[in-house]
Amino acid sequence: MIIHDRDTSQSPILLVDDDPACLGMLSDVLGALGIPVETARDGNEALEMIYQGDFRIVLSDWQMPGMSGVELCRRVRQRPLSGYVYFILLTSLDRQHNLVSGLRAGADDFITKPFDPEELHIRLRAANRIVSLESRNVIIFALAKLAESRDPETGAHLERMREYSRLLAEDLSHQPKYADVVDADYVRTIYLTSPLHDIGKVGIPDHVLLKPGKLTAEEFEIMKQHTLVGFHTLDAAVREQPEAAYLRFARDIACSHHEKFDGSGYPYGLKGEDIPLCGRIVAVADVYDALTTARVYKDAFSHEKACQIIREGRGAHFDPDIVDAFFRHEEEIVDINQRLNDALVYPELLQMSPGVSFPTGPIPTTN
Amino acid sequence: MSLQQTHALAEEQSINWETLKSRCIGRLDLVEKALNRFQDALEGDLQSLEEAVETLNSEEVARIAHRIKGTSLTVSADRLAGFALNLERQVEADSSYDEASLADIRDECCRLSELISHHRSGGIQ
Repeated sequence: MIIHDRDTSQSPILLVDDDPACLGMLSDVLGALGIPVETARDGNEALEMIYQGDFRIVLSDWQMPGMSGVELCRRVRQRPLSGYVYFILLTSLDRQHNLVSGLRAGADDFITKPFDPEELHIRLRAANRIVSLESRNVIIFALAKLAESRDPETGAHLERMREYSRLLAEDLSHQPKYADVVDADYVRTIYLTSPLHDIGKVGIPDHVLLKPGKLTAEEFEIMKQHTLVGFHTLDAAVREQPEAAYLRFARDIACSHHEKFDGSGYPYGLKGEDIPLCGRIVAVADVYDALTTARVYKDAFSHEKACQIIREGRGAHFDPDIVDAFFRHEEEIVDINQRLNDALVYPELLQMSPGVSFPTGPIPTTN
Repeated sequence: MSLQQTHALAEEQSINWETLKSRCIGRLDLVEKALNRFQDALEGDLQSLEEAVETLNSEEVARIAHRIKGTSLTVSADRLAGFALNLERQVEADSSYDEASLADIRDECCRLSELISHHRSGGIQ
């Protein structure tokens, strides 16, 4: 059995049981496995601890005097908490508990008593993964939306961007040249992290970021810094958590999505395959979306016009393989563009940006 | 400390030492802590059971029998768990119980208490 070093960053697991013998043994065994725990002797005490503390996983006996485990679970679900609480009910082997009532109350899993330490450990690890994933995905997207919120014109840009990026990566995963690099996990990771591509824009001053017109050369130099701000921000996160591959992925995208295949991009002027693949994918997705979206200084280009620009950039601005992938999925690209139309996803944008004419139906066919 | 070695058949043992040790991830210090807690809980539960019997409170008898069963299973005191389950089911079926069931529990509790005390004093090697 794997015994963990105590992870002080992990929230403790709350154990709830009116039986001190069972509670004590659970606490001892989990403690010996390096899993931090706290204990409660009844439902009321547990509820108070959940409201006041920082518990993401609760392991509660089903049958307790006063408030049962099912009732405790129901009450936890009734009150919105800062994060999802993963709830496991302990059931007796000889009792035909109505598991459906536990599920209806919002329980996520069941463990039979007397517990098997190996099973308990595996289930708690699964619970921890689910809780961590939920936190990670929500935080990543919230961070991206926060950065984007400084630029109200961008609407559902992030939602479309990650869909385009996933589609292009998915296509590459079927090409022999990329089969060893782009797998299902790569596709999931680019979907997860591509919304962070412009996170560095939080470091760009308002007079540049929000300027309603073309940037001067000096302002453009400032704007270009968003790739490095994003890189340094995410690189600090990578150093904090080096095992988190998705952070390295996000960092590479933030830094390289404005590089061009012929070496004329920024910030480093990387060329060809020196540009990380994720950055080359996001570059196509980002430019297509920018072209087909209205701005204060321009109307939305038609899909055909955007396609022409992307085709002309094949081998110059864009990696030819990714442009080819783009044109293999043109219909799906148009579908994403229409389905995640700004006016449909964020109707409030019409009020927020009165000078901009957002397309409200299918995107125009000519421009 | 070492765990009890016995030539008795598993079903004749008051405590299934192997499963208890396994539940305590092989840690003998955790086995000892678990047994100490069990012995303390058992004294209180047995006393509460006697009081519930005297006051003819069958609901309480069932509740305590359920609790003894859970506590016993935790430390693999399987025979006591079986007696407690028997009592719990009797009460749940018709709110009554026989004296023999109570006697089984009393006797097994005494046996376990002696066994644990003996174990604690290092008598079982």
